[in-house]
Amino acid sequence: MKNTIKELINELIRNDSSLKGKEAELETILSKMAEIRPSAEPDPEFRARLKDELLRKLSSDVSRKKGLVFWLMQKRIRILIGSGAVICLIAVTIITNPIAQMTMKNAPQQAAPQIQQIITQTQANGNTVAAGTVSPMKAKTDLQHPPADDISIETKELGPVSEEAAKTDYKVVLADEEISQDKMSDIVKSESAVKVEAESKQLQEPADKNSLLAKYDKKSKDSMNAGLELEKPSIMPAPQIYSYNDVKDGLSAGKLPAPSYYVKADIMIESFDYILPAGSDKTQPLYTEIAPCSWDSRYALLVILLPGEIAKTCNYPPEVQTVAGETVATKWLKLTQALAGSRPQAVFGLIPVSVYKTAMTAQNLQVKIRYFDQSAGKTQAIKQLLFYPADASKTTSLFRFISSVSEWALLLNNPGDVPQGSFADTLSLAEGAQGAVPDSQWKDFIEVLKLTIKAQ
Amino acid sequence: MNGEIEIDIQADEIDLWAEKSRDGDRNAFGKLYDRYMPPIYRFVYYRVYNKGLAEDLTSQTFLKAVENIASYDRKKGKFSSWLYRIARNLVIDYYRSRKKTVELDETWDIPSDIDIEDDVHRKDMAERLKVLMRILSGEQREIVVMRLWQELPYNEIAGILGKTEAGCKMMFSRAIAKLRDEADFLAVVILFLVTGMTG
Repeated sequence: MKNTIKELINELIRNDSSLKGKEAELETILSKMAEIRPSAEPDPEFRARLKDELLRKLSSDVSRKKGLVFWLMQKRIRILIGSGAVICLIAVTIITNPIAQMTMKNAPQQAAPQIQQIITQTQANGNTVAAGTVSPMKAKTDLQHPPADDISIETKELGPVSEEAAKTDYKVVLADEEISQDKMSDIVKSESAVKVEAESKQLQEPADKNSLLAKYDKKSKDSMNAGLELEKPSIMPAPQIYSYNDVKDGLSAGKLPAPSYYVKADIMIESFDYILPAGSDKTQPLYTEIAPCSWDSRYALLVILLPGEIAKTCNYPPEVQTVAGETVATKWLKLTQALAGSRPQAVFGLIPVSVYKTAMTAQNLQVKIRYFDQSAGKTQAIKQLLFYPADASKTTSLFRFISSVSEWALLLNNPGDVPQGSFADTLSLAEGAQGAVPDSQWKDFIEVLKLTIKAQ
Repeated sequence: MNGEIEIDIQADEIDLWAEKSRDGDRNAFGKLYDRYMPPIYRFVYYRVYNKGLAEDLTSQTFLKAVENIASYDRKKGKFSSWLYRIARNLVIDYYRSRKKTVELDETWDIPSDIDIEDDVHRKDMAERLKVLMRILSGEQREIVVMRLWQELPYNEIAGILGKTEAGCKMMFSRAIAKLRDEADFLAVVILFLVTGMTG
């Protein structure tokens, strides 16, 4: 230590030349300061115990990370399968698009069992008029050498079709094949076999259908031009619940989650790894804390941190009661999935503030929870008195963090449930909650809150 | 020159241990723990002056280190500075959990249940410690403790506090100057000398 003090004196003189000549005074000060240093050597037993615990945790953390890699690989396969399915569905949707469906519907009903053809006539002036149907036709060869009564060209306005006109103006469509004009003229030449019927009724129907088709076609094209305004086919089943990462991804893209009711407070709360506040009584099985609720002045917020082994087998929700055993009406966090047992699980309940105020003075509220004790092989009940901070400003970072996450999730889900809440409040709560979860998660959540405010 | 090379080799070795710890090497992490556990414990103890609490916060420091060892980046600083920063943040958070908003100065409030008073021989020292520490600002107290009590080099202190080495030297110099100037301190020194002579 003496050497250190001399070294420090030299250092001080180098930094401040006015101290030169005052070495003795400096030595006195530094020596006295050094002397009052409390002895602080860690207890060897504690040191060894902590080392054991850390080495165990190191192994389990590494194996968990390896598990994470496997999970990601699985996820990648799932993503590939999902993408393939989406592509297939898009392809099917394109093939069976509404225009194609409309074309099929326009086929004459009476010829349904047969192959149908639509003969269209393109007039010299460019107008397209439905000329009629050829029915019933079985094959192209039948059309080339039609039997006497097989073909009827139905046209009223154009009258009998002349050979000359047929050479230039007619097109016969047989299913997907186009018949050349030469073949058409062959058909027309056999006038004895062709019976021209000009019945307006028969002409009207395909004409109307064609105009409908044209109208639909136009609408469809317009829609496509307008950026596919048509309702998108629901080709992927939407998730019923958003994960924290889903919400974060949406917010990163500048969008609040929609539909909002897919955001569940319990899922958001469950996304973090909570750290028991320093100095808390580790002999107590549960960690509890109750203080006025920041987002609803009618209630006090009761936060409970359940150890994993209790969370996975407990009867949810717990019960809040007075020491005398009277049940206190509590609004509990709704669960959308069962509590897991891999890590401590946080839950919250809302207790009327009047009850809380009385209870805080009397310190007479307790939480009761039943769980299955696997080591004992039977159901156990825990009754534990609640921990009351002196006031809201004395709450732990754990309480503030859970309060912030809950308020944020509830605001996203339904702002009506959070009468006095705001995203700005959640941010200020979270900023004062460092240490409640690992720092990386804490920072990430603060970023998410900032994104939420931005997206809002 | 030789000293510098030795320090570099040591730093490389520590980084190697950190690297291996990241891959789950228990032996490497054990070495890191053996090396840093006592100084970290003292670092925490000099801020909370309570054995149980110091143990608790030291445990949390190392648990956090295990959880986040993958995020340790040598380019951003030494492993020891990273570890000290975790401990420091936990101490600040501990005091913050007791009060919603605290200045750094307040995180150095010496608790009334300071357990070094249990040691009868050190009771008067504890009293003097309280007086001395109140003379200095929070950062000055930190730097005096780290430099004088823990004998940490300035580059290490700079890494922990996120300041420059020159800035830390200046702060230490000012802290000592403040102690010299303070009448309270002189009174304490006199008291110390008197009790020292009579004791």
